[in-house]
Amino acid sequence: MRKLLMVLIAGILLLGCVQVLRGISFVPLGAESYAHMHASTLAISGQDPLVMGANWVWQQPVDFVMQYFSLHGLFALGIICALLSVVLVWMLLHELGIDKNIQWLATGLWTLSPLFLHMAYVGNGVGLVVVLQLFAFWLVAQKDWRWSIPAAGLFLIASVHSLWQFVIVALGLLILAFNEEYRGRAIGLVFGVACGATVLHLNHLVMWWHLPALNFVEHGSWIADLGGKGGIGIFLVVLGVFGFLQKNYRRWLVFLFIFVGLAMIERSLLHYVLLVLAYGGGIALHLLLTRKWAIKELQWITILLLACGIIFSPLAYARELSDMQPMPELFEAMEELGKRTSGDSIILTTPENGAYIQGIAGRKVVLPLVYYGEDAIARLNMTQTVWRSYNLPEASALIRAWNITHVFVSPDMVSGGVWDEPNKAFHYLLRDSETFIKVHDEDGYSLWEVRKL
Amino acid sequence: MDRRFTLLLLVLVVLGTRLVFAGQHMELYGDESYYHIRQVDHIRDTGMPLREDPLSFGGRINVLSPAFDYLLAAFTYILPVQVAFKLVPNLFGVLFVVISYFIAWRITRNSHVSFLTAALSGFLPIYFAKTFNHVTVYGIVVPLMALLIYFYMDIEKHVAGYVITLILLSLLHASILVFICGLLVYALIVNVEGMKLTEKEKEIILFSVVFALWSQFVLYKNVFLVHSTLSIWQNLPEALLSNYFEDFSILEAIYKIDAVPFLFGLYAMRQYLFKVGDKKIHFLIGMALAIALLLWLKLVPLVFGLMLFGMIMTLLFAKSYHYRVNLVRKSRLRKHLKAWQGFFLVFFLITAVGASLHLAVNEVQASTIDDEHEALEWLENNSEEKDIVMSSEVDSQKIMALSNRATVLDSNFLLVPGSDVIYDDMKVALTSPHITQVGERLDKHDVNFVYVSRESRELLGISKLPSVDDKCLPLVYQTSVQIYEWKCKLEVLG
Repeated sequence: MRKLLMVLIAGILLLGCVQVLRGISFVPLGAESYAHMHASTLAISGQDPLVMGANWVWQQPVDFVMQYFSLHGLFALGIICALLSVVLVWMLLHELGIDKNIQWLATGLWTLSPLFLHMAYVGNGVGLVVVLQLFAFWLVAQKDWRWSIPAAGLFLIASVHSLWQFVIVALGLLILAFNEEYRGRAIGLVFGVACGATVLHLNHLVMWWHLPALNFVEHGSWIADLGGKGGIGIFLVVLGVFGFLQKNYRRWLVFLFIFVGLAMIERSLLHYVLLVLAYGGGIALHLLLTRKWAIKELQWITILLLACGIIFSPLAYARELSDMQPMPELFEAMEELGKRTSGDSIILTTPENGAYIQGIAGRKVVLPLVYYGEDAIARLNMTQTVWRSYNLPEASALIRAWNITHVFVSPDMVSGGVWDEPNKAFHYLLRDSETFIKVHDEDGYSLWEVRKL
Repeated sequence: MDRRFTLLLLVLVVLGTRLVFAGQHMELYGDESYYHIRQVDHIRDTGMPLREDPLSFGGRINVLSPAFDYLLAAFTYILPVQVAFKLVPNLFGVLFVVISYFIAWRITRNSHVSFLTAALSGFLPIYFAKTFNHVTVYGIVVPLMALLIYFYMDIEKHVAGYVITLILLSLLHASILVFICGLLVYALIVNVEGMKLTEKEKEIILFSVVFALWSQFVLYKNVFLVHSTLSIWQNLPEALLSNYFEDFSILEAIYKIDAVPFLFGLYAMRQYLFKVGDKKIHFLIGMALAIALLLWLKLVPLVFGLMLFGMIMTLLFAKSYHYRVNLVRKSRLRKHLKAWQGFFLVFFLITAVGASLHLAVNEVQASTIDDEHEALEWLENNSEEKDIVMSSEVDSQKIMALSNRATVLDSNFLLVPGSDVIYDDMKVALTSPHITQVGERLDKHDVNFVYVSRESRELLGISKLPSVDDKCLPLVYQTSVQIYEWKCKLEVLG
């Protein structure tokens, strides 16, 4: 227990680092968090009043839970989920009878990962799903098979988050099935959850299958050290693979490759890549610490370098999180936007800004972060045409045709986000006072009202 | 003849040949040379590398490792600066000859084969032609990588040497990752062949991987964070990257790494891969495969990749040639072995030396025609200190180093935001016939002069600036270099 406490303290210190670097602010980070926050407010209705003319919204089951949390509540939920995940990884490895030393090393590696920080600070609900699944796996790993019944329910809830979660549940259960003790219940659960997930997803498949979709959630590389958003540290990859190779756990390596392959398609599965790598890394670290080295001088240098590398990844990611939106200036801009627009206003901006406008200011946007709808492509084309336009009549005609009342421009839009530099294309056209009125401009955030004809 | 004396003689011949070519011109060749000259000057003046460069891209942060520049700067305290720039790269060049000799000796235990391998290394065409009068980090990276290979082949005895070289190479250049890829491919081959890595090998491979990754992340962390996976391609503009293999032909590549080691190297690969178990050769094959793969994926610059590939093929040549010599020794031709060896020695040297000298002469001739020194001097005397010059990426370092003027872009795009746009602006400015289009790009970067060398014109496929205009963009200097002055300012009407 003392070792678990140490790991938890390390996790809390790491979380604290972000707070220190960022200045004390108890809000979730990233546009995705705010898109979910907005989606959670209308999770029950299925209508989106904040997307102009939209019938379909992006909802996930966690949004049903998230609707009961305020902005600060969501922040706390992320932190609690991240810390709970540490305890659950510890409990799961303990229940599976993993060597105590490997157990605490693996839990430590789980905690000292950029993905742990991402789970805590980026409130996209994945943390909640991961906690549910880890808890369910822990229940399945109990000696008494009857604990698998509530586990099935939890797996089902997690599977509704997306079909990919079902895939991960199935893979996790298959890993358990290699142990004869768990084989019967694991196979039974795979079938049970498969049937349940199919029924639950049938509804979505029927309704959404034909709909064009837009998704602007930014991910980057899955290696955090290569600038990935909440990816995995490269040193953990080296350590994990080395661990499995040394122990000749080829089966684990196969699962690792499958997980990595799937994680390339669905990012939320990266947590399970982390879990497998943390286990392999635990084995490797234990081996490196206890084996008799042929070149003794290299032992401590290698371990020290690995330790530095493993700590380096989350610290570098903490620095990245400290610069992530929303910063106080954006909150101020949203407050101003809320004051200067009405509930009927329709705002043209980027999808990322759209998420903040919906989540913080509660105003309608043309293009949200994630959008399902017949007119998805038309919205995208219209937005891109306007941004690139040098032709005022063409741009203003499009804006008026889509009933846009305001245009919101942020600093990142004029530094590569939309235009390479200020006063390019449509940003230049905004100067035309006969069509647009600048109603607010502070810290690089500007709001322009479209004059009525 | 004594082995050491023969080797010394070879080293002197290679060094002498290199210096004869290097002495043809006062100035150095290659854009990269001028980058290092500026860095060394700054280190000599301030003790620190030029990290914040006010002239490159109108002001940028240099993130490349300064270790090579410190090394050069150290030599400039012992030797006159000009002599150091000429001599030191060539000393690195002959270091490669010595190391190749010892690697070949380790593989074959035959002095004749080792001598021949060392001679081929000394005249490896692409390495010879691109390092005899160039201040380039590749000049030292190739011998250091050969040294790493030498130490690794007998790691049981050379752990300290290996570790020190690994650290040095990691600090010098990111190409340590190429070596790491080679190690991993070697480990894979050994595994597939059912052989086993020794405990020491496993430990040294793990240490090498961890240390190389760690050092590169410490040196280039910001680059990775800004460019993400694109940092592997050094943030090169897409247009440059897509032209990567435009002028590449297999035959030319074989010519540049010399056909003899290439063919013998291929034969060794065929002979040893999956057939004869020799871990030293498998190690070289692993390196060759890794370099070929990285070249194919455009992950290493073409010239550097060919240098490394040529180096490995030359080392593989040793084994393959030794095998042939042994065959002859066992055959009826054994009486004529000396003559046979003599014939091949002359034949191999003619092909390798011939190709090296041909490439070197081409470099010297191109430089004689260009005579850029005067043009750069003219630019410095006829422009103001704050003036900005538009040129292609191959000319910029020279302009910054010799004319002391800021340029719009150069060949180092790391941490440069919007590199695609800047490169596109340069291309439009230098190739568009429409003066308004050109003017817009020149005004955007506050350009005062446009510098077009013969090399740039060949690269862009122009004979002069198509938008030349007596009023706005007149030709103000012409030799083999053309300099235009931008005198107008575009304004939007209304």
